[in-house]
Amino acid sequence: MRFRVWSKAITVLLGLIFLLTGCWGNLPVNNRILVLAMGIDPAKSPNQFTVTFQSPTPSAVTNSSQGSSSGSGGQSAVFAVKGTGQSLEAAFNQAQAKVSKDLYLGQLQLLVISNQLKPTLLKRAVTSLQSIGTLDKTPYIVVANESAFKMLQQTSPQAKFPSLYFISLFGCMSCQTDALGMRFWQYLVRIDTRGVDPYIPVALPFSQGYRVDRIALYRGYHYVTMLDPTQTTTFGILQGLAHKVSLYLPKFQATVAFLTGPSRLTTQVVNGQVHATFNVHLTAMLMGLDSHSETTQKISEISQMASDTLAKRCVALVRQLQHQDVDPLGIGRMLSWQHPDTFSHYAHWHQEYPKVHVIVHCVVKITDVGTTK
Amino acid sequence: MNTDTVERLPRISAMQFATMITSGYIALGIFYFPRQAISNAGRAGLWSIVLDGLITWVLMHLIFRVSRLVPNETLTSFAPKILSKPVGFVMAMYTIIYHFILAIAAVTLFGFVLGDIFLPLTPTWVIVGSLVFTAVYMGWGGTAGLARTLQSGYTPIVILTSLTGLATSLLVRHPVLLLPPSTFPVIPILRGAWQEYIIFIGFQLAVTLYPFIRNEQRKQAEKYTYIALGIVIAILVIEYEVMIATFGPAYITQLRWPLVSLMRILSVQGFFIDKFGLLVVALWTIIVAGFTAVRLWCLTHDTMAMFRLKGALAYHIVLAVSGFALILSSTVIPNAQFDEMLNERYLIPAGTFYLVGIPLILLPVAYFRRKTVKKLRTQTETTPPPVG
Repeated sequence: MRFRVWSKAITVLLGLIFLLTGCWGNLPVNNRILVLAMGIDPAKSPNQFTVTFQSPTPSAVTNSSQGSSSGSGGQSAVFAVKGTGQSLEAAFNQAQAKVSKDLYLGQLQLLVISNQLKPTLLKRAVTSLQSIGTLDKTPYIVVANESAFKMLQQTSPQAKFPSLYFISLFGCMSCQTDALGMRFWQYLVRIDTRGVDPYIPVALPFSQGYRVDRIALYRGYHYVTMLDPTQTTTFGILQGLAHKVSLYLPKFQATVAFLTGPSRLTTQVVNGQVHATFNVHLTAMLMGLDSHSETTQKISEISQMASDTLAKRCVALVRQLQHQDVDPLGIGRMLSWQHPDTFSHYAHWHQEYPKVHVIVHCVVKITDVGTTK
Repeated sequence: MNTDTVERLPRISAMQFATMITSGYIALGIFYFPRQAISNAGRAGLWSIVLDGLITWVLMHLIFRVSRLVPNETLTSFAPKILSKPVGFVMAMYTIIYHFILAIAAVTLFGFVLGDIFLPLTPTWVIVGSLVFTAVYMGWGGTAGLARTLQSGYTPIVILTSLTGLATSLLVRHPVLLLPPSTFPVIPILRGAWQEYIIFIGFQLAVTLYPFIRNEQRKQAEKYTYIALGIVIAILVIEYEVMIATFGPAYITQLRWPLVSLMRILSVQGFFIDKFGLLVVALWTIIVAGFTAVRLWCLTHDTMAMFRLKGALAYHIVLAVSGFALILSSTVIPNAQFDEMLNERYLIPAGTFYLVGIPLILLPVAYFRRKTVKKLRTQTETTPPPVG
């Protein structure tokens, strides 16, 4: 009888050894530096990069949880640790050596890469980032013009930390002209898929915060160019990402605003030639026209002119992209889905891409007149 | 009302049987799903999944026919009486070893998944240890207790996972990929179906579990198991569509555990748990614990039948020893790549061979030894159900 009791007790104790192992790698949050943003810049030495790990200060976190919006005594709400090395891991080790707590990447929300980063370095960094198990590939990725570190140093009165600003911006569709937010996994999908190139929104710091109205285009890991704001909105229209795009028509002294709507890309192969057709259907609001001239015919004319103007802009942009040999619109990818046999014949899509015949059908439907949203 | 003379085994209901059978598969293959199908057949990999489902349905039908030969005894128990002792012994050994290796592959794989995402500092054997200990505890109360635990733990998690899977449809980026593929490349589809079949490997535990169904609910139990299979296939097809329309086929082939990756990018802003998908992945522990518990249960029963052991004490000892052996053996698998190789090179061929081989050997022999089979059937039940 006593043996049974003891054997049961020993079994339970042995079991608890396993069941209580949740504490095995336990590290209190006080001993961790939660990295919210990470910037990657080329280092002075070639073949090396400098990584900035940005984290909120403990006082900023406390104030944030208590609902306070101001910094504590004018101090910065964030602090950054830098590390340099030939690999992300080496840079991480150097940064870790400068702090007394565990640098933890599991809460990363923003990844900033410099457009000066060489393709080999960018590829190395991206490959390393993919292998970090605790990183769930959901941080937003943005490009900094020249220095990611400087971009992360910029503060905005609208948010305490840069990462919070971008989460708020990209998480809200109606807060942007175009929904340009790109999560890290979406970037990886583009990198790993033939027939499409990555684009990344550019964050340009200015005195009041950041301006996000351009995109950087990459051919694989090669930085190619940066689109200007007008081209970026046109790109947004072609991707079906436009939300608050407006178009001023001097002839009518009127503005077609809040252009928004889907875009559908289809591909065809006609006599061996690839045809790509974008069907863009936009709704918009007409503004700036005085109430006496708001006739049905005039609205129809404005609608037609807006459609033609946008279609021309779109065609011009696609031709420019073809000329630059960069395919962020994914024409090749769509061809691979709709005509896999044709696509498989191309050893290098980028040789065929400039020859693609592009057609853009754009229809702007004015659904509202004269009021503001 | 059951009027039969022998009622020696604790019985489970039709629904419990279907739950146990379903929890006996999907847990291992779900992590790799649908990488192998897409790697081989591209978008047409969808047909590989459907084909796997159809093959499973046919094999399930044959396995139930085998189980109905002597419905009150497990395969390990009645096979030697029909096929001769040496053949029966080989078959029993094969069953035991297969259950054991399948369980090792499953627990180690989940150990790697949990370690990679949540517990990078914890050794895999510790994660496996707690998982196996939970599984042993689940199986401690015997068949009926395990069945009830699965009903209350496994089923809600499966439902939650399915609902979360539907929520992932919000992540779809390329609706054009939701259209069913129009191409049928036969060889790639077959290759994809073969490599993806690990998702269904494991339902052969039906041959051990069948005698535990309440006599009057056998027909219903089979029906529920087929319905559960249909639901599993439907969920897999939906998940396949969502994944391919979110990531695109090219990226899925780069992912080690595509479904885990999909769950990890699912976040519900404003909800009290932002990264909701991660919570669901953590809750999969219950599914894998269920899978392991069912497998340990089978292992224990087959071992007891082979060595003619009886009684609760023997059951508990064999169960605990099996669990301990499972923890020790899992340390042999060094990494997730090796685990995947084990599945592809050994577990799929050996499992398919078993699933096809058992009916192919037993059903013809039983036909020629009708008298022996009839005697065995009526020994334990006066009016056993018809085989065909």
